[in-house]
Amino acid sequence: MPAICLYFQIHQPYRLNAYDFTRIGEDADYFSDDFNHAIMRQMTTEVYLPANRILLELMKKYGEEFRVCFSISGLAWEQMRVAAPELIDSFRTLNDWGGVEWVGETYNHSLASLYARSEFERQVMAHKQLMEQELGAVCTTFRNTEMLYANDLVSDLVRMGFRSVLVPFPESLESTSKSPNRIYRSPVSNRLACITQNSRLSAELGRFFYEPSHRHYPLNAVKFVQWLDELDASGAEVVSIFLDYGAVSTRTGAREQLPNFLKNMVRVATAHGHLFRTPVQLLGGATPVGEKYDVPAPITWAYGDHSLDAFTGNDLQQEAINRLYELEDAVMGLGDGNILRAWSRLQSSDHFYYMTQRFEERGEVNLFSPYESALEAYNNFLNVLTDLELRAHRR
Amino acid sequence: MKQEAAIINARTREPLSGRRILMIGWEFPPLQAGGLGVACEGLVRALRLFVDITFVVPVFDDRMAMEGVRVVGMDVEAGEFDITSPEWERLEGDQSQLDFYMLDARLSDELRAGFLQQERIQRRKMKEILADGQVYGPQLMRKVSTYAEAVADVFGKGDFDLIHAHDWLTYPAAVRLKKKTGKPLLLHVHALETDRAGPGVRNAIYQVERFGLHMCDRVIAVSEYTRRLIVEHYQVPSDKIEAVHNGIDPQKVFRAEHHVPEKIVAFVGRLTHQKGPFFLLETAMKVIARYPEVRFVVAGTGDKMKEMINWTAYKGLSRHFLFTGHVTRQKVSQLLSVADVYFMPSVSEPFGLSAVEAAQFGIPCVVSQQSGVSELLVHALKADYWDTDALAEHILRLLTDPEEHRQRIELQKLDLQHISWDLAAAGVMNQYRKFLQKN
Repeated sequence: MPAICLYFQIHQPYRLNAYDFTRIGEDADYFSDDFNHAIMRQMTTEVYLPANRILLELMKKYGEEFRVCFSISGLAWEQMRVAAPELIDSFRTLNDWGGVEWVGETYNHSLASLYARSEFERQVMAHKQLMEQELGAVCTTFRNTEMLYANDLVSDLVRMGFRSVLVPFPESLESTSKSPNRIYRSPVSNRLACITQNSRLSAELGRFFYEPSHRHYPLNAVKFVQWLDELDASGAEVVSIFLDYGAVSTRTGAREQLPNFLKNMVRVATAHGHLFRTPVQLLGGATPVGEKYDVPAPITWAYGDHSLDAFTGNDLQQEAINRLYELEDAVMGLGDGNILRAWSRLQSSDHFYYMTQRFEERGEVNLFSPYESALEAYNNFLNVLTDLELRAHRR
Repeated sequence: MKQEAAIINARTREPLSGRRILMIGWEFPPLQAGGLGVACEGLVRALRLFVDITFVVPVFDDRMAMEGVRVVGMDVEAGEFDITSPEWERLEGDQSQLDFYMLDARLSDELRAGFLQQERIQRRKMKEILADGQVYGPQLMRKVSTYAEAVADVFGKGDFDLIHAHDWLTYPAAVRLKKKTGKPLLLHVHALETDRAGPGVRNAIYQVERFGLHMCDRVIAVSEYTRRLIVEHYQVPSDKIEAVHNGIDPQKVFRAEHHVPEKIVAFVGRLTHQKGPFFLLETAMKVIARYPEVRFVVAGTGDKMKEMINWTAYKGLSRHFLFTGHVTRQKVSQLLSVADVYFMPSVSEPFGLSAVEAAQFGIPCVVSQQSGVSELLVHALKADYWDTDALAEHILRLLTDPEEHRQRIELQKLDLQHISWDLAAAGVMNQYRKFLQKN
């Protein structure tokens, strides 16, 4: 029976204040501390803490059989320190049980790997250091922001000490002989294993779980484990379910809520002989063998097209992100902690996601955005960025 | 000055004091969307010294008070009346036959109550249709026609000497009232549909304008430019139209230091086709190419904003722009206090108050020829709105030549001396006199 690799990601950006153009040059108060604090509080009490309690329960009950992976962005961790120390304690408890593999990522949940490699490396190392300090964890598995991945990332990851990377697996590849349910190695290094996401099953738990119009709604544990069982026949080694931890929420109106589903699913799956494994366990001490997973151009875990379009697909996003990274030399040369911190926080991919016009084009609402429109998000970000440019170039 | 002499005449030789002007407006501060409310307020403030003014608006606001002027909102309900009287019911069934003016003297108390009730109904209708809280917005044509009915009913007795109506929204009301009362009608054109939608437009608004302009007795245009357009696009005889330039209230001006290292070219206005947004961008691109240390601050919103911002992003020129979105009065002042050049590339601008305000702040202006303000700011730099080479050339000159910059400011100060609401009022009084002196 294939193993199951469960991975959860946690991130909260520093959302911006409504920053009027008249403040440019006068006001370096960019981030809405109250708002960010409130959101972290709400997510902690409504989602993260209840979900952690269930994971702890499962770890106690199933011991060795149940392990999960987590990555928590540095910005989220910083905000937890201020707003949710009990959540940090809860993660430490999970850690003490030995049930978690901590996965590395960029400290700022940024797209730096595409725009500034030196900055990317700085952020990855900063995050590694944070995990080591806070949890005594040495991260050997990496997951990039939005699971952004291409071959050219590999040499950097190997150099930074990673042995495996969580990567997306576009459904289109399944028509070839490839399957998402195996462990691959990179064509540009024999030392890095690629753990590929099973997009379809991940989406069943993430995107579609609470969607009454979805054909598998309502999903139950027996049905889900049956799918896992069926994969055994096709030679699946591991089924990787990668999720935003925010999805493990107790929404109202659902017949069965996701946390409860997880409990049942783990019970049924373990009874069927599926183990919940992390990359370190899957690889053992061995050098990865297996087929090559060749990704010449960047892909992401975005459902459907696996593109980065929601982040860098339009002119507004490109202009904002280009201007931001053009500041790198000035910011680094200045050595001013406040400016560096602001610049780093502005790199969170969220700020660019708020600028996507795909929702407006379809007459929908960007549920994660605090703004009314993409244009408003862009204008506000640019006002802040303009102020930062002034400060970074001021001598 | 000819106009200055006129104002002295108005005060001494021929006071029309006691003459009653019924002004029909649409905006009045603080309820205003564009320049119409500002213009009406400035004009009324100056005119109230000479004539009695009743200013009618669709929506009343307590803050609209101006000493010596009666502001009447069509949405305010009249007093309570008994509508149980049989006479009222008869009236209600036969309102179209009523001639308020003729009946007035013979009205029984009951009938009078009935009429007042009728008025109340009209006002309530106005209130209902404006319940969305927007004087513009959806169902504008219905608002305009309801307004016309209400005004004609409420003021149908004709206890005034002249009707003076401002812009197309009020023309149906004004024309109906003129027909009902036989009083002379003066239409005041602050803007034309052909400015907003282009000279080829033949939509309902254009038809309302055309009808009004031909039915009225006389037309005041806010500029010679607008006067020419009325002749050209509406075929109104030019001797029926008089150009009277708007004035401007003195304002508190100040200079401040700005924080961006670049020089600032300011634009203030709605971002609509009429304001020439893409001529602005094209000009800006030409300026930036030769003088990169510049930032165009575009203040205002409109249906072209999204496209403009996308364009600057697409061109990778966003660092040379700043789109402020909606701005308050105070923020406009803040912007003007730091601007180096004011730029108004309007495709068709009846007046162009914002350029005069910029001149008050001591900022040299570059404006399109297709504007009323170009007649007043004689010393502003001008070019056709489509000639972005020439516009860019003007802006570059002001950015790079400090002496030219300084001189333009001084010369514009001279221009400002000939712009005032007193002069505008004198011009309007001359038109009133044509009708009121005969009596």
